[in-house]
Amino acid sequence: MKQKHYSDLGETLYSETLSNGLRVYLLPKTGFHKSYAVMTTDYGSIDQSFVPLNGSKPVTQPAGIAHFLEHKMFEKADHDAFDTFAHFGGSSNAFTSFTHTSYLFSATHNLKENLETLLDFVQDPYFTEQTVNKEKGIIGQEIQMYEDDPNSRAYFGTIANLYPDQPLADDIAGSIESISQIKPADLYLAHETFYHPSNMSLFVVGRLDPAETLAWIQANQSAKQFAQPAPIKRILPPASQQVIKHKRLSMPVERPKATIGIRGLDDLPTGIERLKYEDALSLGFTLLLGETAPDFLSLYDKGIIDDSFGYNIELQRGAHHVIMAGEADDPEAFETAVLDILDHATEKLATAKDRFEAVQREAIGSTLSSFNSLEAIANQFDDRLYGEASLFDEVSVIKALTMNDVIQTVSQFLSTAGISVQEIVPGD
Amino acid sequence: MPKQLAKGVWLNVIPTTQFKTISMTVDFIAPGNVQELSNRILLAQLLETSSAEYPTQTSLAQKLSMMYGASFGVNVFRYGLQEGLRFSSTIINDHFIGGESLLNEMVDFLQSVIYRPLIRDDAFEPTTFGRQKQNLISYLKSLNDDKQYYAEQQLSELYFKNEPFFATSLYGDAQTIEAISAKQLYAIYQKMLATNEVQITVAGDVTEADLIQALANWQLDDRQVADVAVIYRRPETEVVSKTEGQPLQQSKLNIAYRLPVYYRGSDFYKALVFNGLFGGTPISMLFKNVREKNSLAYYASSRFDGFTGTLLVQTGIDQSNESAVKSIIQEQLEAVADGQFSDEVFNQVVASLINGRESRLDSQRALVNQAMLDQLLHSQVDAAEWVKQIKQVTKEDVTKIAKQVQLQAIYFLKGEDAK
Repeated sequence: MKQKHYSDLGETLYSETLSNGLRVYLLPKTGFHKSYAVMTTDYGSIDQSFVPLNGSKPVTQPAGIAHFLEHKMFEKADHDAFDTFAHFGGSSNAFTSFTHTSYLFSATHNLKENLETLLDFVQDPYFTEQTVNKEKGIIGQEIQMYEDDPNSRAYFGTIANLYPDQPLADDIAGSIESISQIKPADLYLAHETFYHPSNMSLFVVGRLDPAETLAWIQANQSAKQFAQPAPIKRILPPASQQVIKHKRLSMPVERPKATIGIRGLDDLPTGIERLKYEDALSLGFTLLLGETAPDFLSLYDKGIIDDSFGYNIELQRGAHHVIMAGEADDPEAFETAVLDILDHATEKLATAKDRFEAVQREAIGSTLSSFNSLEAIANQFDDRLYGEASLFDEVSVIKALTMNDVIQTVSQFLSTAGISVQEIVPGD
Repeated sequence: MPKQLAKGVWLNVIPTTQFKTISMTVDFIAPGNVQELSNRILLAQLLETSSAEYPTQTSLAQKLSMMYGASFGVNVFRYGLQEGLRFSSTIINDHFIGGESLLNEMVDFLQSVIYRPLIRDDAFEPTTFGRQKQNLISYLKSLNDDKQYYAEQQLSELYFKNEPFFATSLYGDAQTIEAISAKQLYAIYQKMLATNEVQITVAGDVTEADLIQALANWQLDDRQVADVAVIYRRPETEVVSKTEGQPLQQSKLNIAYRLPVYYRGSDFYKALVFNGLFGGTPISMLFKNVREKNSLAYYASSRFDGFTGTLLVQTGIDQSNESAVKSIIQEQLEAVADGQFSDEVFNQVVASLINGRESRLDSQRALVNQAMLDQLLHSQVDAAEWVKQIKQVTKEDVTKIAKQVQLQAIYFLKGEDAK
C-alpha cells in the first residue's frame, strides 16, 4: 500500500490499485466518529455512445441512461441495497454527474459490513422489464421537479448553449421521452462496460484503520470474477466550437434571472499544471467579480447585481467552463455590465496586484476548511483529472501561484467566441 | 460546562482538535413575537453586509479574505417560543497557516461588526439600510420560485393561522419588513444588545482561558433574563384544507399533523423512532410505499418538530394522483398504529437514527448548535445518552405514538397547464 503524507494538511493518504484494477484510497481521520465511502465509476451522462466491452460495433444509448442505471442499481431480486445498509446502520445515496456516477454510504458502526454491501451492490446488477418500467414514473417525477426549478433550468440551459452539439446538452436525467426507451439490456450493457473495476475508484475516509480496511476490500474483490480489463472506447461527436450566443426562456418566475456561461475553447494542460490552471482561473474570477472586487461593489450599489450573484469554475473530462448567475430586475443591464468586465479582464487584473494576497489567502483557507468534511474530501477527489496530482496538492499549488499566472490563465481561457447568455424572464 | 461572564451572558467552549478550524457563534436570544422576528431578519441582512469599520461588502470581504477566508454570517433562528440573532465566524487553526493566530483577530472583528454598526444620527445609515431592505424584499419574492419551500410555507400559514409568529418564514415577511424604519430598527438593536440573553459558543483547538482573554473588551453587562418556556404546545383545531393552482409540471401535497410530544419530554425518543419509521428516513413507510412501490413521487417524507409538537409530510407528485397519495399516506399512518411493520424495518430505523445522531459529532456547526441549545433549555443529553434512550424504544411504544397523530391541515399546490 502506498502512503503519502501531506504535512501542510496534516493528512496521510493511503492508496493501492487492486489486481482487478480497482483504485482504492484510504484517509484515516483522527477524532471522527463516522466513516464515509464513495465508489465512483468514470461514467456519466455524456457517455451515451461507446463500443461495448467485448463488442466491436459502437452503440448509442438513450439520454439519461447513466442516471437511470444509478437509480436501478439499488434494487435487487429479493432486497433493496438501501435496506441492507440500514440493517448495518449505514446511510446510503448516489449521484450522477456529466462524467461520473458515485455510490456512497456513511456509518458510525459496522464499516466492514457496509463496505461489503457497497462493493456487492454496485458490482451485481439486477434489472427486469418490470423494475425498469416502474422506475420511469419515479424519474419522470424527478425530471418534472427540475423543470419547475428556474435555477436548474438556467444552469442546464446554459450548459446546453455552450455545447449545443455535444451530449452535455442533454439533461443528466434525460427527458421523459428518452428514458421511456430504456430497456434492461441497455442497462446491462452499460454496466458491463463502465462498471468494470478498472474504470472505478473507492475512497474511504474517517474512522478507519488503513491496513484492516484494505484487507476487507481485497478479500471481497478477490472472491469475484471479472472480465479482462480493456480500454473504454467512447464515441464523441466531432469536436466543434459552436456556441449559442443568446437564449431567452419564459417561465412563471417572480424575478428575471441572467446566466452567463464561458466555455474554455483552449486546450487544458495535463497533470498538476491542470490543477494550477483551475486555481489560477478561480483566483482570477475572484479578483474580477468576487466580493472584494471594486466592480462588484459598483454593480451592487447600482442595484445591477445583488446577493444572489455568484459564479462557478467547472473543470471536467472533456470540458471546462465558468458559469456566472444572478437575479436581476434588469437582466440586460446585468449582461452588459458583466460582459464589459470580461472584455477588459486583462487590464483590470493588471491593476489588481494589491488584492492578490487577500484572494490567495482566502483560497488557501477555503481549501483547508474543506478538509473538515469527509463528504467534501471524498466527493471532490478525482484521481484521473489531474494526473498524479489531486485535491491534496491544492494548498501548495495555490501558495505557489503568482499574479502573472493568474493573468496568463485568464487571458488563455477567455474568448468572446466562448460566451453565451441565458435569460429566464417571467411569463407562462 | 458553560461559564457565566455576566448575568444572562454565557460562554461555552468546546475544546477539540478534530477540525482544521475554530468556529464561534454569538447569539442574542429572547422570547419571540412576529414583529421582533422580522426586525431580526432585517438586522441580519444589514449587519452581515456593513458596519462602521467595514462600511461596504468589499471592505468587509477584504478583511475576511486577509483572515484566510474566514467565514462570517448573521442569521436568525427560532426554537419553539424563543428566537435568536446569530453572528458566526470560522477561522483556520493557526498551525495550518504558519502559526499566525487569528483567534483574537476574529473576536475583535466580531466585536466590531456587532457593537459598531454603520449609523448616522441615531439611525442605521439610510442608503445602506434602504438597499439592504430592498435586497431582502427581492430575495423573499424570488424564494417563492422554490416550490418546495413555497408549499411548506403555505402549509405553515394554514397550520399556524392563529399563531403568526410560527407561521412567519425564517426568511421574513415582506410586508412587515417594508414598514420598518432605520431609526426604529437601530433603537430596537440597541435594546436587543443590552437586554437579550447572550450565548457565546466556540468549538476548536482553543481553551476557555483564551476566550475569556479575547473577550475582555466586550460590553457584556449584566442583564435580567427571565427563565421562559421554549416549548410551544399548539392546541388542537379543526382540519383546514387549501388548494392552489399554478402553472407547474409537478404538484406538491403537504400535510400537517399535531403530535403532542415535545423535545426531551417523556415520549420524545418514541416520537423520533415513529417519525423515522413513518417518513423520516429513506427506509420509511412513506418512501417505500409512495415512491418505491407505487412510483407516485420522487420525494415523500416526514419531519417532526419537538418544539411545537408538529409532524409535517411533504410530497412531490403528479396532479392526477392527489387522492391516491393522500390515501396511501393515511394507510401508512394506520399501519404504524396497527403495528404492521417488521422487526427488521424497526431495527433498521433505530440503527439509522443512531447513525445520524453520532454523525453530528463530526460537524463543528452541529456541536456548537447543540451546546447553545442545551444551555437555552438548561438540560443536556449527550450522544451516548441519546442513543441509550433510542434503543429503549419498543415497537409497541411507536404504535402508541402513531395513535396520537391528529390531522390538522392539508395544502395542495396543483400543477396546471402542464406542457
